[in-house]
Amino acid sequence: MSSDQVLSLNQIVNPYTKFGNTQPCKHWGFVVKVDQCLGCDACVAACTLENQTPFWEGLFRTHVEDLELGEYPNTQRVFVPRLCMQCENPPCYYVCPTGATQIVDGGIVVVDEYKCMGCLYCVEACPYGARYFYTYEGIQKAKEVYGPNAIHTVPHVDKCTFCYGTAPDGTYTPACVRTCPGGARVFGCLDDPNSEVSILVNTGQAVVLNPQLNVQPKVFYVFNRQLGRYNVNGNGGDNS
Amino acid sequence: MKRSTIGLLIWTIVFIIIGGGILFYGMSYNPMAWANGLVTFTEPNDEPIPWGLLVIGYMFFGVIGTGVSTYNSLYEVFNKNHKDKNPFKSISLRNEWLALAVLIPGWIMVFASTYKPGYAVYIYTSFRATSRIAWNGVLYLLVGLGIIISIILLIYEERMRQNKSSFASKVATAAIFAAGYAILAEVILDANLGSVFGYLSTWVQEFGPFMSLLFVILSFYGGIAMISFITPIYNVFKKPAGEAAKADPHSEMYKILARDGVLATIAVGFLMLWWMWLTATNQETWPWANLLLFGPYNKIFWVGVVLVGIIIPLVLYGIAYNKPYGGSLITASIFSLLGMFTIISLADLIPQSITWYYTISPISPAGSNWVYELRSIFNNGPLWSFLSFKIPFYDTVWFLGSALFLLGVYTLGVLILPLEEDEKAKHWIFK
Repeated sequence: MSSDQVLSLNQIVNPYTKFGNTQPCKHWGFVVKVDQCLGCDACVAACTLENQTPFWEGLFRTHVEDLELGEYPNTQRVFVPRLCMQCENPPCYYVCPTGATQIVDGGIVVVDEYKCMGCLYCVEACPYGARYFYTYEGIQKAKEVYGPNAIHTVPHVDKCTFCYGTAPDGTYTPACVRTCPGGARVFGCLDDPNSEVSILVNTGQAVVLNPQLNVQPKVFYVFNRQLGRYNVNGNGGDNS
Repeated sequence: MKRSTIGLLIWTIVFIIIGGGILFYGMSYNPMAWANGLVTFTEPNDEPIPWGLLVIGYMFFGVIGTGVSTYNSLYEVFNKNHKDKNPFKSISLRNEWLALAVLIPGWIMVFASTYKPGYAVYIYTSFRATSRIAWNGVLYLLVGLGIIISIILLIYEERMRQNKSSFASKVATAAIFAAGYAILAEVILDANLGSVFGYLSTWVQEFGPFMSLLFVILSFYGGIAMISFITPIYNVFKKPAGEAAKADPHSEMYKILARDGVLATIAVGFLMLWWMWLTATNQETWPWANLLLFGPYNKIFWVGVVLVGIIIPLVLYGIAYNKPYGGSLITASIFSLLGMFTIISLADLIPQSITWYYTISPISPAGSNWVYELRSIFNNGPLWSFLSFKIPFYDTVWFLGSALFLLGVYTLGVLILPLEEDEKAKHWIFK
């Protein structure tokens, strides 16, 4: 199946993909407002349907981490949505030996499933654990689950692409953003100073995870809630 | 046909049939489907550690194969004008064949470690210069070519010498150039293999440049061990009947192997010490050193690396140097090879075993000190969690099949190529 066919199929399956952003952009950005995340996993479900991830293996392009901080009665629960950071300086791109991992319009990192040889170097290199392998078994199962609308046809490494390609003219909003009931996920153009993502980033409210790695993620996090100071036991070591 | 030749022929067939059969089983009896990733018998996707035994295996055999050739070729090149002083003169060609035979399982495991081996062609058609694995694909080819050219030229040189041809000196010069080229390509390949681990910007604990150096030194360590393992065994089988009680004519060669074994082991020991020192005294990497020195991997480190890989080989090589004897050399080499396997395994496993907690930007949101609070919590909490490592059945099948194939390829070379000194070429293009 050619990529054009995949795109046209996606348009049939997902008629709402043109909802949202209407301008092309060189640097798409994503902001997660952690305090507005309810932990409902609607984003995970939406992404699963949009991108046909192998949910039966527990593999998703996005997931929500459920952090429990502190000890009873002084506890606090935080939901941290996670997805590919679409790094400006992506380690996964540099290590890919076959050129399957590519940076496309808008600075989005995608995988050409027809070039991926499955060496998993990118899985190793990604500091955020955002990649997984879509196995042959997974592909077979996907054909059963999604029928003739299945978009994944060969085994490959899979990852979040901000739903890239779901609208061929570049006008789209990721499925997780459209679905989030709490408005915790914000998507927009970082080049546009008036976009919400730009304002959150430029005012210093939004920060990145692991900035010391210098991979320059384009997914930012906003934490407005004051967390209490908790004494967590342990001084380094195995917590399994 | 001699009885020993018939025996060797049978063993060759057995090794190749059994090894090849196991590999065929590993392909689910369908090589085309396997090459395209369309078989179910691959590594399970739910394993927390993506790079397992096959990645360790291709590093292990790749480093040993290049080491055998580099070590052998160095003696060849630096004794160019006085060949009689080359202690490995009589086994030079056999060593080169050994290097090629050892590289073959490495090549097999490189492909087997990927889900879609046939797609490796894209390494060459859309080469990405920043990828260490892409360079591995190129360097493995260049090394293989170098060794094959060296073997052919060494055989022709011997043939010209026997025929007293005027071209003998020119072929000898070409053989030296080929050996020099092979050394260069092999050292770069070893450094690149180390870089596969070290290059990853997110694996700070691996220290990229350091891993390259470690792997180059390991190639000498493993190469010497492999020659020390094979040569005495080969000599025992080749020794004419009734000569068992006589003095071993190869004692000088054994002594040099033992001496170089001691030096290589000291070098590896120093590098391991330095690796631990750097890692343990770095704020970012100390948990990793802690994992090896005192944590769940401490037994593997202290027993597998320090005792088996460094202390025991050092003692045994020392004994073999003082009293050149094949038995102690073989025993030392077995411990060295085990130690090297452990070192490469740890270099592969440890970074995958640790899931690091995330830190966030030191920029504090306006009107909040949340960032500092979070950092405080993370700093007091565990810095890593330990993931389990299992060897899937698929990996075991491919490792075993490749190793048996190695033996078959080696004995096949002994059968068809004139690897012995003064042996006349009998087969194929060398006749």
